[in-house]
Amino acid sequence: MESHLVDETLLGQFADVLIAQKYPGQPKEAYADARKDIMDALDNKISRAIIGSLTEEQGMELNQLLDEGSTDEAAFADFFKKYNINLEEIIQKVMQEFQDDFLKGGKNA
Amino acid sequence: MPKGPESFGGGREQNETDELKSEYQARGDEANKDAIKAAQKEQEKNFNVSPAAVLEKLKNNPAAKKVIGYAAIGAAVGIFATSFILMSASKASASNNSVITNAPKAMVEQAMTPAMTPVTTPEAVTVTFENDGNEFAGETINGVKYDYTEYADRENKVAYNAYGYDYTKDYNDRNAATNSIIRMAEQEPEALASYAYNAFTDDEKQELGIKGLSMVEIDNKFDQAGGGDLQKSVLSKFSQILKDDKTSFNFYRENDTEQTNYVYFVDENEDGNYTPDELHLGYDTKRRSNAPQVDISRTITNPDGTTKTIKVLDLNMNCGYQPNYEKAPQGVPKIESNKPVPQVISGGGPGGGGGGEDPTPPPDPDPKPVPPDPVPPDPDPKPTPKPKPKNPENLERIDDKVHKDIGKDDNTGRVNPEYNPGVSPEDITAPPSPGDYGGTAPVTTPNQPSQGAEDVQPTNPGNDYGGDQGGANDGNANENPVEGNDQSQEEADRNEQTDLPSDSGESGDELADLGIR
Repeated sequence: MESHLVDETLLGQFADVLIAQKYPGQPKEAYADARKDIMDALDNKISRAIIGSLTEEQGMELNQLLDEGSTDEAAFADFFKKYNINLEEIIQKVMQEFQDDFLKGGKNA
Repeated sequence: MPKGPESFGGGREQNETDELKSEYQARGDEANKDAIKAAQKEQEKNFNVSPAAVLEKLKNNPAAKKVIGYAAIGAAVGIFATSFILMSASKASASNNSVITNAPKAMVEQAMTPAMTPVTTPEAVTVTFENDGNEFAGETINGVKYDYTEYADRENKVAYNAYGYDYTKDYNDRNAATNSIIRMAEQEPEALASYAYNAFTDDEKQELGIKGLSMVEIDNKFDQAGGGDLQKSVLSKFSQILKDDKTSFNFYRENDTEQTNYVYFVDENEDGNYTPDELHLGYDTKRRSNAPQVDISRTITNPDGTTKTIKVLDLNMNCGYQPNYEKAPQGVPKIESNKPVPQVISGGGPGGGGGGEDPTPPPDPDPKPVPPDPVPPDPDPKPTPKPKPKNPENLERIDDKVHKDIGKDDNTGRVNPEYNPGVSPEDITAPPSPGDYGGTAPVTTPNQPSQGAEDVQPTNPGNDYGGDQGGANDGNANENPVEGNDQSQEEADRNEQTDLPSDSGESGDELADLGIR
């Protein structure tokens, strides 16, 4: 099973709220498979957006930080701050687009 | 089995090294191998920082994930606060209003789970086995406590007979891994038996009365009189080992074939319930691919005061921390990891203790009698126990509808991320300096008194470079300045100079003809 970049509890909650908006009154068991797909798809988009906000040089610098096995949250927070990468803004944009597409019925519906 | 950091692919390699080498040779400095080695080392340092590789490392770094997680919470609250307003305006059904209106607060509360807050070192790990109607948890007549809820939750496990869930989230987090492994040992006596068999020294086993027993035999001992007390003692010793300062955890990725423990169910009581006496240890052969594992070892002190490091456990994190082995574990039947086993286990082959690379499993040393029916039963003789849905008779799945709403775009598998390409130096050309194109001076000929003035040739406007002609870099030259690559600029300048014609008579005439001088 592939792990997610974003916390799975949050992804699951997001999926539940999305589905409740469009299909109110449904128990979790009625959409268990699709819930996982929503989580995977959203995590996929967020991952691409975050990585896509980095230039190659920034990617190398982040890679070095990761290779050092840093356990310091502040180090990672400082890295993104240094390059003015606003993670919350990036993720919110992705979530908003995802929600809009979902409520409208999907790009290929 | 533990391996060093893996590489994800190729980078800039031989071409640049060969160029450097040629350059040194051209300079007559072929012996300057140190410089070549330094260049190679520099390339290796930059070896593969592909976006996909960085993403994978991000996922496996708890600190980075937390930073991203906090941002995600903020983003989600922002989204659903807006949605809440829209939903209120559209007057959703009364029964769901409480869900939607509380969504933002619930999102934050739910999202701020222990996983999102700093991990603290646990003082003690205890699991309560209250019998609150959970059909998977309880206590045996011998006092052995168990909870097979996770084991039975097959929809959320990777393999049918896996110990439990995927614990990749614990990767590189010793505290989290310790907690998860201890919880697994508490929930499933079979897991505890496999851990104790591998982790304890002979002296420790002797002290607990399990020396010389296979892991299956240790598991069976839990089912006998005194099993509850044995479980407590073994659990206590195991927890102590995991939390000891002299125990080390090494997280790594496995890409080899190995043998791994699983737990299988034989419904000997024919009631469909999971109890410790019906769950047994088996193993299967697995080919791993980048699988997260943790190798645990500890340093012990010998009677003579010397120390040595011994292996405790090598665990597979994908399937609930199952022990791995290079060779088949002794006295353990081979099963299929992803299918329910037939009610009759064929245990033919050499006697117990064969082990090694013999593919024929030894006979099951389990003293319990094999169920009498030798004929393989129907494929699904009893429904697999699983959590019951709320309204099973009225349940209508909406998975298909939701799949369409997600759209095909993201259902076709993961697409590798790409870096921001930005603006490359090649896209920018250096602006002309003011003196570069001063125009061509008109050719004048002194007016000879005896001759009429020569007609002055009209200047071809196309040859007048004095004014600003505009163009690609008009006014934009400094918006995206090239960050200094002085060396290449100097080199280019050097090359440019060598291209200039030498001051020879022939060249000078040609230049004069062109009106340059």
